[in-house]
Amino acid sequence: MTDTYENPYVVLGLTRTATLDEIKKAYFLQVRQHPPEREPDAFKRIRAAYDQLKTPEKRIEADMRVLEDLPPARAVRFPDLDLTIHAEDVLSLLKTNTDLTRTNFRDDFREVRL
Amino acid sequence: MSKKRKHRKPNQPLVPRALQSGAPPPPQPRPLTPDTLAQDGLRVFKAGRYAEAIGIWEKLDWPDRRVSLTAAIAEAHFRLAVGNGISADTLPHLEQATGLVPADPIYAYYLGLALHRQGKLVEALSAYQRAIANGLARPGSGVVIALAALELDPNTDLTTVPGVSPQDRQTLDPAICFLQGKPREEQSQSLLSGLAERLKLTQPSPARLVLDGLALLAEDKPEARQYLVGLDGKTWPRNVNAVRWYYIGVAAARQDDLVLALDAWKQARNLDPKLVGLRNLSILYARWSMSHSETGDWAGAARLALDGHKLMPSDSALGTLALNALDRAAREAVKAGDWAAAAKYWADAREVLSALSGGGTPRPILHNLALAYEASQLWEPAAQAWRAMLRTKPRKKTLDGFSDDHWTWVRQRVIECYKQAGRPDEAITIFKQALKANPDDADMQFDLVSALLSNGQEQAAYSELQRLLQKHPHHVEAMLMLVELQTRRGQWYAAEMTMRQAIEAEPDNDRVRRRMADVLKERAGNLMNSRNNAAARDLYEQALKYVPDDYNLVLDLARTEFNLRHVDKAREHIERALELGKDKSDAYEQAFICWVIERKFDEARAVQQRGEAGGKLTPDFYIHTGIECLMHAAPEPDLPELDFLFGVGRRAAKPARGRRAARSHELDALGRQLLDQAIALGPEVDVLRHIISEVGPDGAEVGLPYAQRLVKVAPEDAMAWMMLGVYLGAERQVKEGQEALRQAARLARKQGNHDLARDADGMRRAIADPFFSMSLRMAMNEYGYDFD
Repeated sequence: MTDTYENPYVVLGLTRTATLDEIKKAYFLQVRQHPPEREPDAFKRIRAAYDQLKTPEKRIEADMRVLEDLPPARAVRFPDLDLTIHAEDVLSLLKTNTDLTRTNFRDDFREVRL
Repeated sequence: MSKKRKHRKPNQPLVPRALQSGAPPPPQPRPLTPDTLAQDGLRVFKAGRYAEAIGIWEKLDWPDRRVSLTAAIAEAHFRLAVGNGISADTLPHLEQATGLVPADPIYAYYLGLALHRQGKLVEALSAYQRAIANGLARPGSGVVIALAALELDPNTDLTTVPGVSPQDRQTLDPAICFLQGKPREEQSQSLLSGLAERLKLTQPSPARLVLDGLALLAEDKPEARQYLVGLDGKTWPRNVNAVRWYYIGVAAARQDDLVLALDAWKQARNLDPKLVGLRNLSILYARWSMSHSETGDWAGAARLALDGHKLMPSDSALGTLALNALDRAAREAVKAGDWAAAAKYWADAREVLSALSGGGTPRPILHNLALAYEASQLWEPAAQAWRAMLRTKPRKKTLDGFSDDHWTWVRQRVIECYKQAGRPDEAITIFKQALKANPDDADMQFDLVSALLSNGQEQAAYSELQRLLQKHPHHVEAMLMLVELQTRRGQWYAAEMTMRQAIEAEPDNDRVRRRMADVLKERAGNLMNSRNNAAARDLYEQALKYVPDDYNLVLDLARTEFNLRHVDKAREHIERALELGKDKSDAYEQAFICWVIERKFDEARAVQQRGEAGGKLTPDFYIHTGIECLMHAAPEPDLPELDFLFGVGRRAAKPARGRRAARSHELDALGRQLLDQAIALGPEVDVLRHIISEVGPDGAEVGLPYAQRLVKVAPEDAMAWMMLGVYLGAERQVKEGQEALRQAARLARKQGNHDLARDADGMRRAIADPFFSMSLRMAMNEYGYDFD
């Protein structure tokens, strides 16, 4: 793989689902728009892209060399910052001096007689 | 069972020494009465061995003292429960204690506390109510019960909760303002301070100090921030200090100091990651990340979103944001040619995705990551990424466009990357080890087969495949691979048998049916080459059963019928093929060529007219059929030795037509007419280029006029001049050819295409060679100057 990355589908203005016939048509259209005698570099790119897609075998190689898109992510929304005082925090403070935060319960142990 | 006889040792006295010396006899064991057992239990209870005490007392049958014994067992359970503080293990023992002495208010209250701490508020309240019903009179219990009720429902009317006194309600009044969402003005400092006093927080306890700070904040006093920052919470309970830090962040954010807010919320998170307001951390990172992405700074966006995700890994929205930002940043890096940076981003994205529940398949990220590693020549990580991708292969076929061929490609990359890493056997070793761990993993065994094949170990692969199929006789992929090896070895019959098993395993699998048809078609093709047309026809007919809609196969059948002189049958097949491929230009093209080969020009033209009438023909039809006509117009070579080789018995199957000794002018005319039609459809330059590329290197006689026409309409096209030069050379017009090639080199240099200029110069020298025509095909294949 070279340092410069070119998606052949993008070069030919196609989607990944294009048929072989569509690929061929797109190639000729691009060649008409960028004839080799006038735009040799552009033609080279178009030619290279078409070379990668023109047979089913080559296309598998090209498909696998193309960066894959992530599945469309659900739109994420973030609310504004919550700068209120939370009841839970007040309750948490209130609990600090109650039986809910005690750790020693020996006062409640009772004597056993048999 | 026989009793063991006790043997006296040789030196052992008959009477024990202790008795001999007159020592007192050992104490007799105590009789095991309920009383002694109860005392034994009490002894271990007092030693703190409560479980042991329970074990002893539970075995005791002591009806007279049942009540006190039950109370003792309950107390032992209670002490087991709370002896080391209240934890998750506490509940069963408290339930036992309350079950044994249901009327005890303390046990019920403690059961309530344990449930309350675990957040089981409904159950806790029920236990508290039982304690109250049993006469619980314990200072502070009313506040605890009220807190449970308020936690369950902040709008609870505490007058309806048993056990909560008016004094308790008065104590909690200020908190109720917060909980019931009364306007902030009412959540005043005086209220919260009053609460602190009523809770007897007269000493400056941590909770009291923080409550004072919250009161300032409730009044929106700017000094709230400074007040909370000034408190030293290092030795405080973690939850109280966490609340302090969190509200330092709130105070700072209210003053738009988001940097301090971030720092404070991070401190709060470190102390208590369960604080409810910590979503603010996610919101802050998301907001900053999005402000970077809006300006196109995906690297910055990715860094911030990733930092946020590391702090808040369970926040799926932030994780999704990080994933997207990392992917975009990676793509930007790729655009800039920095594949190493891209690999880093995708590696991070992979981590983020693994932390997201329901984040979707990691396949696209692994795919991109592997490509980035490869481009960075980090072969071992690339191999590992491809392997990880292989593990995402779904068990069932999916409709995402990822076929078995794609997976095969991935498998090959694992192997190739290990080769590039200088460890060509690594893939085999890895797959072998994995197979050893999971010997029934058919897919893993199949990966091993691929690795062996890739490493050139075809025989080992063949054996492994057979082992695989013994264990998993319905593994269709393995069968298809075996067929591949069998056809490579020319074992056509074995391949057919394997395919029959595959068909049996998956009769409706299109790929299997297609491959079966291919195997039969290849066998039929071989038979046709050896002029055994009748046998070939049988195989084509069998193949058609598997792919009945394949018009090409029907046309193959037509060709065998032509060879067998069954023109009417051939005609029927051609009609059927046209029916099957009625919307495809290619079907008309192939049918046309069938008739042309048989020199049935009227029928060929009829096919063309039908296609044109239906508007089904593409420009390719005219180009391909025109070239075929011109190619078939050439005289056929006389090769009588082939008849000798194939034997007399097969002569009957020879095609009906005789050998064509001279060029067919009719075919020539038809071919030129078709190509003219193609050119008329235009654009002329494109069609001429297409014709030349289709004609190829050995078609100089056909291609020359079109190359001459092309250089006229595209005189700046260096490649057209190149082709013209080659054709002229092949036709032995060396001088003209060299001139054309000189022009090709000149134009190519002018256009900066130095490779083409060099090739044209080389070709100019080559066409002077008298053997040029013979080596033309080889030379053209090497240079590959085609236009499409």
